[in-house]
Amino acid sequence: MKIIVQLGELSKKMNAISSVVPGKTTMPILSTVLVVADKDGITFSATDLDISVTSKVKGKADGKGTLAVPAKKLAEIVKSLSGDSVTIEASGEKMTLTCGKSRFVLNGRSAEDFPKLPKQESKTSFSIDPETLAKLIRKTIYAVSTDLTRPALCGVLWEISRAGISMVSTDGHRLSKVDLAREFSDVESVQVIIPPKALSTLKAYAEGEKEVRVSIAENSVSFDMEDTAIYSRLLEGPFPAYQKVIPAANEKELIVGREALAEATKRVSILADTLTHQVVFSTGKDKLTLHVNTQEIGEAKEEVTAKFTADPMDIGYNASYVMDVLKTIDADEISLKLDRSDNAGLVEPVSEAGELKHLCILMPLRIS
Amino acid sequence: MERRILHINTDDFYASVCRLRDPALRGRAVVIAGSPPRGMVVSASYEARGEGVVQGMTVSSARRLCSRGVFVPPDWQLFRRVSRAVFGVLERYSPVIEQASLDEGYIDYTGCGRLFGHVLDAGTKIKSEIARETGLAVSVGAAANKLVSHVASRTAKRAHLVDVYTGYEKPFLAPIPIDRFPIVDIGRASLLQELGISRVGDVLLFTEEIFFVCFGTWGKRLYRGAAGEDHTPVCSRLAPQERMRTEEILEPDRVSRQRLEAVLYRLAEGTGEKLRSERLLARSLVLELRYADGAEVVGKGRLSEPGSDDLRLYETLRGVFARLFTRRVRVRCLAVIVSATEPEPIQRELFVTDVARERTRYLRNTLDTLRARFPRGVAPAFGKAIT
Repeated sequence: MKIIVQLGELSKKMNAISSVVPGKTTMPILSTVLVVADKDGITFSATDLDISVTSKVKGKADGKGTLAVPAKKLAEIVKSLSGDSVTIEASGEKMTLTCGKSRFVLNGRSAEDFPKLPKQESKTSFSIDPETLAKLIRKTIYAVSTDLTRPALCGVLWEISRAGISMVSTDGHRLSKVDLAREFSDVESVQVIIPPKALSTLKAYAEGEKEVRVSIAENSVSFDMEDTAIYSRLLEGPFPAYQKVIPAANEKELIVGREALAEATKRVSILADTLTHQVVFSTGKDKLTLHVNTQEIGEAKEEVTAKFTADPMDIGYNASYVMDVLKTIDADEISLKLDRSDNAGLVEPVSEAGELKHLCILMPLRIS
Repeated sequence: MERRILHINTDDFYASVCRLRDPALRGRAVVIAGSPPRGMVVSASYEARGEGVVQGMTVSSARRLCSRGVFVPPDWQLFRRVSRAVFGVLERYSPVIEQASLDEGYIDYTGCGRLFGHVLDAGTKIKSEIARETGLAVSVGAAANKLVSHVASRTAKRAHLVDVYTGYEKPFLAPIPIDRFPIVDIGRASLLQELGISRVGDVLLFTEEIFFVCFGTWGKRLYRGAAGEDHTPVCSRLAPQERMRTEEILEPDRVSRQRLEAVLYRLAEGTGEKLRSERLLARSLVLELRYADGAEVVGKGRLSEPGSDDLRLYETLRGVFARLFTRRVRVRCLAVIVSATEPEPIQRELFVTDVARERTRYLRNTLDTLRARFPRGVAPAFGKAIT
């Protein structure tokens, strides 16, 4: 088997596929990528048994062949090459890559050992443009928990209905929710929890695609694009009743410039405690003062112009959480709705155009 | 930079303070003790010690040994005031001062030589300043670490100054009797003496491994200490374990399990209050139980998960108490020490999974606030009926 493919396309696909390959595994075959060549091009598949990716790179092929080769090494080689095209040849259990004057021979394994890629029977499916999907993922993925003792929080909740999609993520200290108001005809209402690894892989592949077809089955979800298909197992719920924690009576509103607040938070947090990252927000009528006072390190203070509609108050937040929220909001100004210094704060963009509605909830830190 | 530590030990602190207040006590055997007959000896002057009076002895026993002694009740306010004055002098010489007790402390003099001169000069100045400002005599020990400086100040008794040069720790420590070595308590001293180790230098005749096998980490510490090694830093603030000590001397001695458990609950309450005020969670607790006959037993308990709730602390302590309280002998004193802590998470949770625990936490904090504002007894005990 011999095939010539474009280096740029190969590099992009290999970069994304190597993120699925597990770093450490007790099954060595999982650290390989399955390479299948046919007359239209070459297909790469990788899996960690929870998430599987199959991606095709078009090219001129001469013959057919199948081989499993070490994924990380192949990705490293492709990343290091320079030129327009790469020639891939396979004979026996060896793969040869030639690009310009460089030549690599990789020892592979029999493709028979590679796990069979799953096929799912979908309950419901819909199509969505990749730009919107990427935005939805970006606005929620950061708040996913890494605490494996609460598995339902280790994923993003998708609530799909004919009226649109809502995505929610939380780690128990903060929550992000984004609603897409768009009509999806012939969609069954479902709620699923998708692992963040599948979503970040999807985000990487969706860039430049025309459309993503999302198909949801009982225990799995698949995302089909022109040359790529991603399959993922769903996480088991129940997802906590997040609607109950969205504050409805926070009447003290602080309006502040997003970028100014992000920069001030970043600066003062240099002196924040390395464990708690505590920064205290002191609200004034026309300003917000950020304080950090860490006994062993020092103290920092910065003022930001803001509008506040109630009596001054102090509230402590984890600076990293504040920065994460500010990075995902697209508006110039944000509104932070507060109640008491020990209650949740509701962060929303001040002006939000389009079909997306984004809100974040931040739980404060106990300040003395 | 060469490490220099000074250990300052006020000679006969309690008796000297009493003599400052009442000059008529000068030259007489002074015993600072609680009210007779059950009161215990807090401290004794050199004269009283010469008659056999030691700390921890009951007043009646002390009276039998030292019939001519003057028994003075402790005036803790006065002792603390004088102690503050002594440590005020020490603070002029270094920013790193550790107060080991009312009458003892360490100064980390490392790098301060350029300001106050050689460590011997600084020691002499400290001695004369304390004498001038408080009227007390202090002994000063200087060495490269806390352990050796402590031994040096003991050797410097009374009102002298001993500097142990770096590298000369081993020969300095070798002739010290093993029961005078600070890290060896009475029980271990007699055990070591039975093994033929009567002086610190004898420890080094064996290997570190032997001591480790026989005594665990303490054995290792003893061996290294005998070799003049000690890397413990001088801490300006007391370690959490030392700050977190809560004790109650029973009046009168008790043997009833129910009564002792009630005391245990009060100790758990006090410990919980201290933990919450410092925003710490306890991971393990040590219970010290002293019987009326002087025998002392110590036990340790680990909490199932870190916490500061009185009831959970009590449950752990009760388990330890059940293991320790095995004799039908009256108990004189119970003490609780928090041996391992971790900071309380300050991040608030979005989803309250355990509503009951959250409510209890809120209630405890409210009670703590009330107890801080009003005299003891106004805020009720919560969680367990105490008879």
